[in-house]
Formats: sequence, C-alpha cells, structure tokens
Amino acid sequence: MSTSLTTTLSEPHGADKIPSWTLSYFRARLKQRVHSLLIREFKKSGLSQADLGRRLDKEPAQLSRLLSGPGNLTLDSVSDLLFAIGGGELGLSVGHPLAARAASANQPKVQVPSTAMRSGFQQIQTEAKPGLIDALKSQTYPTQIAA
Amino acid sequence: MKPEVILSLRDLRQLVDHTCKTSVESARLPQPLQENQLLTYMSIQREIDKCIADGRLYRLPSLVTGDETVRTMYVSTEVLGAVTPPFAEDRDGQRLSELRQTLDSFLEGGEFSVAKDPYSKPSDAMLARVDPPELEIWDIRSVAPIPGIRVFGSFLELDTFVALTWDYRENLDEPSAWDAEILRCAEEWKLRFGNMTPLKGASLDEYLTNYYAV
Repeated sequence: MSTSLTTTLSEPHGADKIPSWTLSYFRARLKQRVHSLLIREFKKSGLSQADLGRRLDKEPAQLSRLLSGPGNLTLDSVSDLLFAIGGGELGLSVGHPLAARAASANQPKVQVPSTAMRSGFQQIQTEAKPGLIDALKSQTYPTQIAA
Repeated sequence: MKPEVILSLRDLRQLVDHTCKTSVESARLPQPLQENQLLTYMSIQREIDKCIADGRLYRLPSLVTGDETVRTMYVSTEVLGAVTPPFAEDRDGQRLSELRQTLDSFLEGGEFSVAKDPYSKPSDAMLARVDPPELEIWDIRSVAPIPGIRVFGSFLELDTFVALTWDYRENLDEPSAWDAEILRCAEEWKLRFGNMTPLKGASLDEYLTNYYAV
C-alpha cells in the first residue's frame, strides 16, 4: 500500500519565478535546523540555563525565549549562543537537499528487514534507500549547517 | 465544516477515566517485546491500517526527505489539506508552508521544545499538552510569524503523532472556542480509534526523542 504524496517542492529552473511559499518553507527550515543545532549543542554542553544566561548577561526569560523556538533567533543571537555555549561558531556549507533526494531516488532500492524497522508499520514503509535512514538519523541536523 | 460538538469537557474526562483500561501506553515496543504488548501493538497497527484504507488518515511524508523520516505523523484529511502544496501565492500560502515545515521538522527528527504541563509553559514552546491533560491531546505550536497556528492531535506511540485538527490561534482566543476545538479533536480521535486511548507516558521520554523540556 502506498501512501506517498507527491511533493511539489522543486529546485529553481531557468528564469522561472520561485513560488513565494517555497522560499518561506526554506527560510523556516533554516531557522528550525539552526534551532535544533543550538539545542543539541546546549544539551551536549551540560550547561545549565542559568549559567548560560549569566555568560550572556541575559535574564532567564530572555534566554528561555531564545531556546524555546526558532521564531526569535537572529544571526546575532545564534552567534552569541553558540559562542557562549562552548566557544563555537557556525560552520557553513551549501547543501542541495532536493537534488540529493532526487539522486537518492534513482539509486537501487534495498529491502529493509522488518526487524530493523523503527516502526512496526511496515505496510507503509517497506523500502529504504541505502544509507539514507542512517544519514537522516545522524545528519539531518549536523553541526555544520548547510545553508 | 466542523462537526457539531456534543460532549462537554466533563463528559470527556469521564470517558477518558472509563476507557483508560484500554490505554495504548504499553504499545511502545520495549525490548524484549512481551506478548500482551505485542497484542496491543498489533491492535494499534490494525486500527491504523483501517484508517489509511478508509482514507481517514494519511501518513505525512517530509517535503524534503519523503517517506524516509525519523518520526512518524499520521494526519486527517483536514490537516493534510492545509499542509499540502502547492500553496497560494499570498501571505496565507506562505504561512501554511511554514506550518508544513514545522511538521516536516518533526518528521525529520528535529529538536522540539516541549511543555508537558498545560498550565505552565513558555509562549514559544513548539509542542505542548493541552488542558485537560487526561485527554492526552497535544498541540504542535507554530507560533511565528503571526498569525500563529495550532495543530491538535495525540501520540500513538513513541515518536508517532496523529494530527487531527488545526486552526489559527486567533480563532481560538475565546475560551469557549478553545474548549470546542479540544472537544472536536477528541471526537475526531474517537471516530478513528473508538475507545482506544492515546499514549499516556510517565515522562516526556515516552512521547518523543530529541526534545527540550521547557
């Protein structure tokens, strides 16, 4: 049984206008990924929110707002937080997730043993591209953010 | 059109108390799997199968990674219609694409800030359990940009969410409107799963991975 739904996200082509909602989607995606990265780094650091607040001279409520969701993040606050958490900075590279997905779809598919599936709902998730699930689990939100 | 709400929150609380014996709490596939847990798990799978076959639920893929996701989300026709592109070339379309991105982030295993206590949560929490907690209804909170959007549903098992209803937050400002929306979500659950109750976990670890408690 297939429940796949057609995705209409596509890479830019020629001089065609990119739908505004596509741009909105990827803006939101970037914020979400950066937020996830921040949270992961914060959890990994073992710092308390109080200590991080002291390092940044921020009130607990201010810091809580920054960490609670991606909506309030700016380039400045991301830089501040990453540095304050562990002296880090954002690594930059450009990824092409839609092209990567298209390339992956052209690879031979392998059957995943049912015992290896995270979920038992195999009837709707029966195939996986080589390595892609592992890549998703470990690299969807890499330390190095692909812009 | 939204269905008529015929139960009060008090009725629903009683219903939850009554049906808690059939809780799906034990269906999170611990290792090794016990026989009774397997039976419960199979019943969940059977219910999902039926809902998908009937078109009452759809498995949502990520727009970027497709069906290969870290978490799982099943959505109603109502939610699917809201988050499926192409979106309108206007502000509403952009806002709904941002909502879809939030759902895709859930699917792709992104870190979510989560509030388990409905009565004490920061305004920017990305996922929160709503009042009354006994119903185990949660909302995925797309708070920015304005207008905020809420997607309501329940967990079926660890990292598996069933999203049933949604609305703009501004439409739910009145307490009566909010309560009606919660009741509507509970009804939508009941229509699909009968007396089988949502996942009820002792801690957030039992609901999802990659979370940040707020």
